[in-house]
Amino acid sequence: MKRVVVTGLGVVSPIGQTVESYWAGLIAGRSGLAPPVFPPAIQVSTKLVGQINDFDSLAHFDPKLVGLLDRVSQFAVVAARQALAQSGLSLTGELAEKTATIVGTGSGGHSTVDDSFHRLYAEGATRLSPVTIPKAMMSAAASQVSLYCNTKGPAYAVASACASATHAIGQAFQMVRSGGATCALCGGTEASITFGALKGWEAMRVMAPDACRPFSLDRKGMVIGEGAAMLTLETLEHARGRGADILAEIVGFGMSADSKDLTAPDSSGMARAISAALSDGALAPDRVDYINAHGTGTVANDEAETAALKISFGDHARRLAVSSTKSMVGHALGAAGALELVAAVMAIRESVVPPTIGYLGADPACDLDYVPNEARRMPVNAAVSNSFAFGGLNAVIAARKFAG
Amino acid sequence: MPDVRNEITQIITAKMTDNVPLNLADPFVDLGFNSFEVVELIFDIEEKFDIQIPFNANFDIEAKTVADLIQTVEGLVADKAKLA
Repeated sequence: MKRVVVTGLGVVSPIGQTVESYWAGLIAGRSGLAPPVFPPAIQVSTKLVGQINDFDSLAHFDPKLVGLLDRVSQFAVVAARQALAQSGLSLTGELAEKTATIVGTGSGGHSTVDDSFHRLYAEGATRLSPVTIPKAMMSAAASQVSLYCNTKGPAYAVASACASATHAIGQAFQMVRSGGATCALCGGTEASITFGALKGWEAMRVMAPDACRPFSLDRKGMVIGEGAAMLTLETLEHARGRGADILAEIVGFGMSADSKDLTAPDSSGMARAISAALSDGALAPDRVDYINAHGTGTVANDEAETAALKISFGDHARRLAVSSTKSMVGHALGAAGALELVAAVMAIRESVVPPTIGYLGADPACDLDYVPNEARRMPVNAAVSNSFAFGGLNAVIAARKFAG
Repeated sequence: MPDVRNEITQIITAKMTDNVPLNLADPFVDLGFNSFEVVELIFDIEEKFDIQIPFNANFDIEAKTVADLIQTVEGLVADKAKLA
């Protein structure tokens, strides 16, 4: 088994389109949540979204080619290029063929689907663009990353709703650890703030009208976000061999299915995934300092996740710093786990944990340390990133400070 | 003007599996439904009357009773009749 390290990060988020600006926003406790710009707020009852309003496609893509990429693929390519650039890898020849591309997404090219079907059903169009399917397919982002970054190894998309990115990164970790690939570009991307999807979310009646306040008293639900994050993983020996700057080591990956309910969370299923990640990483629970929680801000998730942390960590749960960065960027669904693992890696590297903002006070059912409202300087030797999807699909990654 | 109370009572009791009588003063959380089943009930009632009912599953399931819902729907149906 090979050791697997992180050598590059990339982010496109509502609070920053570089890792530096994203991280600065997180530790400043800056909210990127605002009324939707598109679809216009007047068409939906959704009060808040984590939308990236200043994303400039033409700053990143050739005007002649940009039409081939749905917004979801554009986010992924921009984040992947950052992660690749930071790693300093030169993907040519055999290394390109030994580099995997695994990208999680909950909805794929959703705005292409929404726009195309609107043309047909509402505008009476009789034909669609020939790029409709290649833009909309779930794996389009993985394909576009491979095209733009010259990755020629194993490549595919992973879909598990809100856990997609974490499953994707976990699969890439396993592949690199097992020797199936030397390097991997992996993460998640989502761009599904469309009229159709927002109406679907509204119908579930779990959207917060005021703010996303995970684990807090008077929390009123979740806020939908969008964005992408990508990581460069590689074997330790490869990273060392080229003198790369190692940001953190990925040590464990755990997965589980609740097998209980399509929408209701289940603390025992969550705990099985957390404990599996710790065990996979040979990480004793009391070695973990920071949890980047799934923390959606719904009453049900946050209670169940708190209970799961107590099951997996026992008494040590009370000594953990637990925060939900969704309070700042919203729930980016299939991209969330990657945005959150980037936050956990940065927490390890910078010895600062980002806060849970909007926190009003303790809910008796959520009685851990949620790093309320202000970032905290503290050593982070090991961190865990949780993702728990609708449908009971759970994925958890454990990372630790690289110590030679 | 439709008989809102009767229609809503029928929609809810048709979905009730536990053999408990429907008490209009009960909050939804006590009716034996899980939260998603309550969300589906609200949708069925919206479809029946073609209205939009404000209801957040995070807190209204505990905060609101069936009687509250009937009152809300009666108001919404009356508003709609005025506009028609």
